[in-house]
Amino acid sequence: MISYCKECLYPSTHPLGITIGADGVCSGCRIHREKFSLDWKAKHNHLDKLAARYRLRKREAYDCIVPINAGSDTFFTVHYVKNILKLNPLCAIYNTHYLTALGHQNLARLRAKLNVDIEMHIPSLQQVKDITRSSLYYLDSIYWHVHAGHTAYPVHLALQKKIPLIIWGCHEAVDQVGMFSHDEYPEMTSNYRHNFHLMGMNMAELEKLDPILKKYNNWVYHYPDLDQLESNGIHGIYLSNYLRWDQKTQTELLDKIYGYTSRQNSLSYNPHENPHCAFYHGIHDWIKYLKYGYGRIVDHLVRDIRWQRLSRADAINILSRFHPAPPISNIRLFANFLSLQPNAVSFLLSQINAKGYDPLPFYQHKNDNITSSPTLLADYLNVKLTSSTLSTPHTLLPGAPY
Amino acid sequence: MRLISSILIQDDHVITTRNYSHPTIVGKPNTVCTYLERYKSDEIQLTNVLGDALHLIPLVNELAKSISTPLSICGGIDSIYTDSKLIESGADRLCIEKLLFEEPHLVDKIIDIYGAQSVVLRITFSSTQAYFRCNGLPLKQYGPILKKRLAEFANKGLTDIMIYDSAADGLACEPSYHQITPLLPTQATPIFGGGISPTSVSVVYDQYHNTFPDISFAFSHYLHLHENPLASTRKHFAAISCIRP
Repeated sequence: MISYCKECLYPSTHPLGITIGADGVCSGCRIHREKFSLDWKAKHNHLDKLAARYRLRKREAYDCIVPINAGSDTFFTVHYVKNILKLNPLCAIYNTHYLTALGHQNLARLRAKLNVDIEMHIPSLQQVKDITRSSLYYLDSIYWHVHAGHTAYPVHLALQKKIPLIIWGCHEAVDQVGMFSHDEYPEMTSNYRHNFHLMGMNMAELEKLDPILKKYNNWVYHYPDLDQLESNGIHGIYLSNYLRWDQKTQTELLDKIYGYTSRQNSLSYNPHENPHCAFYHGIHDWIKYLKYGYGRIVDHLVRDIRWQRLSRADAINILSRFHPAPPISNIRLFANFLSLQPNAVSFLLSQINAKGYDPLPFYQHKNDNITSSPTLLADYLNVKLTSSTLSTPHTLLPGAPY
Repeated sequence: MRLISSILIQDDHVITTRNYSHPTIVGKPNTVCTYLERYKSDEIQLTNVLGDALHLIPLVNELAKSISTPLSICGGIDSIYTDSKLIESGADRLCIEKLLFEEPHLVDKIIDIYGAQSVVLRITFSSTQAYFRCNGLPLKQYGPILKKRLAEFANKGLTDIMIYDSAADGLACEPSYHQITPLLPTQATPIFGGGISPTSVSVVYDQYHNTFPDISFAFSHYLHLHENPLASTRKHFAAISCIRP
């Protein structure tokens, strides 16, 4: 039987494995409370001391690797690493082929304004299409290759260039479901990657299920050998263990300093998250809704509840007025990208729907106010849509470098 | 010295806890055990949190086919029948606690049937509140009874005894075993568990390596926090030749 946290909106079926205690409060809310009680100054000092060990102060050497994806979280991570920790990062990006023109624009802004070097891996478009078809069929996900490439490519680069420190932004499982305490400083692990980023299936296992994938050189999706990582002292840390991670204030800062551009979307009121991806707030979010009974808007509402910007009652009120609807044009765009007929994609989505959980009960609408409009949603929260928030439809530029 | 990876299983998930409370899900058993093998664990201990060990049989069956690291099963082992089913499905060792406290004569029988090497005795205690978790009795009160029992089992060749400090979380509270180690027979080979990290391994090793013929460590929560969590301990102790590198 599905239970719900009494403080936020998360169900016990959260994909990252939430647990709800006897008091009805979920592990995510419990750990989030640490953000109000921990000594973050001391943690920053701890991070600074750690960073000092890697600060080479050599123009030709990189102190660390920062994985980026053109989103605001990684933009902020680079800003923090460069300007606060005074490290010289090499940024690593796995090109998903899902980047929009806005995504390329934000990447160019990152390179120009933060003056960092970027190494990009662009897999072959056909390879990405075949892997995405397989992951959609076997794992009900179009994002498998995104997670696989994003989490492995920087590690390969670290090994190749002998850069031992990798600095990630937010540990999503700590932030969303409280998997660990911030005081435990969980690091990057291939175990976590396999279980959660890759949804329990790594590249070798996907190749076994779909042997056609073996015709490609899938090195970028395989995690490097653990002994090699150990002997080179390579390890990855998360900034969110050391600073009070808050995506909203961080993105507002990026907007102010660098003119980071966000984009409204029809499936949530938050314009800041992953505006670079053509499918994140479209078919990807719709698949999440079909599988788990809730979409990204719930993650955003939960975040605002936990940050005490919104009460749970207000969040339910907002959600109850929100009618989830399939993003038809985005599904068509995706079908076109994957060279599939739209009705084939619709069929796959209906299969996912058949297996998935029912929608959260909070979605039940109580009045006729149809609110797929982001403007109306933003009004509820008095979110100021700044001039840097675009509202024009995005265009997909697969693979095209900025 | 052996480094043992101890994981908790609940409802087909691997969970981790802090002092047996606030469980969080950290993965699927098959996937996690694959990595525990890659970390060169000398043994993988599966503890069934919900108490029915027979529930683990399909998992043990699968793991026995896919990994070569010895498997020991803990939690809910309450009869000879359960033991036989687990051994048949591929478990290499049985970790017994409840029977040790409540029906020691059954432990005798298990040793007679499967041999002393297939049994690990487990004692979970709280170092801060000084009581045995299994029966809730104070260490001072029940300790002498347990000491006698352990000596009898040691004479039958059963020397692997896991002592688990449930008060230790590896953060605010480091493990402490000084209240329990006097109960162990001199020929015992204790396995120290509860909040174990590379730092506590060094401390505990210094305290006890001259007291017992061999000592081992069971890592639990720490396994999920770092890549290759056993590597630094292995490297450190390989230098003094008491562990395989």
